[in-house]
Amino acid sequence: MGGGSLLAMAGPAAATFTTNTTNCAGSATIVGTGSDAGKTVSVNANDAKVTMLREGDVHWEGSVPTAIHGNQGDIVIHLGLVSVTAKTWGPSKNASNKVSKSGVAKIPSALKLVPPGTYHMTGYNSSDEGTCSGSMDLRFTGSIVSSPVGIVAVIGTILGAIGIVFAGIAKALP
Amino acid sequence: MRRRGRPVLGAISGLIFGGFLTIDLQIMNVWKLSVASEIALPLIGLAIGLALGLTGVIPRLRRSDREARTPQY
Repeated sequence: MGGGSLLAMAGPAAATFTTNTTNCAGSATIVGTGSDAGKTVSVNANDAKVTMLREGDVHWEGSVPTAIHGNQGDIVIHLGLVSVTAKTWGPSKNASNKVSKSGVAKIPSALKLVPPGTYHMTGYNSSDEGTCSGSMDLRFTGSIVSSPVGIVAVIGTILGAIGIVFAGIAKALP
Repeated sequence: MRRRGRPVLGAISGLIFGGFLTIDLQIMNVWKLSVASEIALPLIGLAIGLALGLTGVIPRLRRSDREARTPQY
């Protein structure tokens, strides 16, 4: 089984399953580094929401009861009209018939720039034997002015409000 | 004399206001970003801005009003 497909197990498995015909399971422990040093977050298959760290190492593990083959899938974070594909993998044959795998992945550095809020993430792994898919909410904590996007949003909101009020002031017309 | 504001400015400002307010509410965890939430507030903002601009309901501050509000010593 390819590393990507097993990473996928850790992804969708740490979520609310929408489809799980292959009985996949998994969990992850996120150990914070840098600004999040000393923090630890555990996620398991039954979690629908996780409070994410922005910097750290993800110790993931995933498994299936019987080997599955021809794995492929992806993990997508939905940001309203925009969807960001965090990871794709496969197709991989899994010729060695592995049923579990674990590893360590770094949290992408781009997450440091993500504004606080709750984001929806979906993922799936399809194989010759069936599909495992799920979703979960990622929550990033912080104040509204803790990210450049938040500061721009606040300024834009204020300017927009001023514009609306100014537009509503009556002009004298003949 | 009929009263009228600035409908184009109102519509654009309303769109901008609604768009950024959507991001503010997302950051404050009031709601999650979705296609519906990204479209709803900008459209509402556009409608409010356009309505205010067309009607010009906010009275213009006249010179005599300003003078009346200035304390006379």
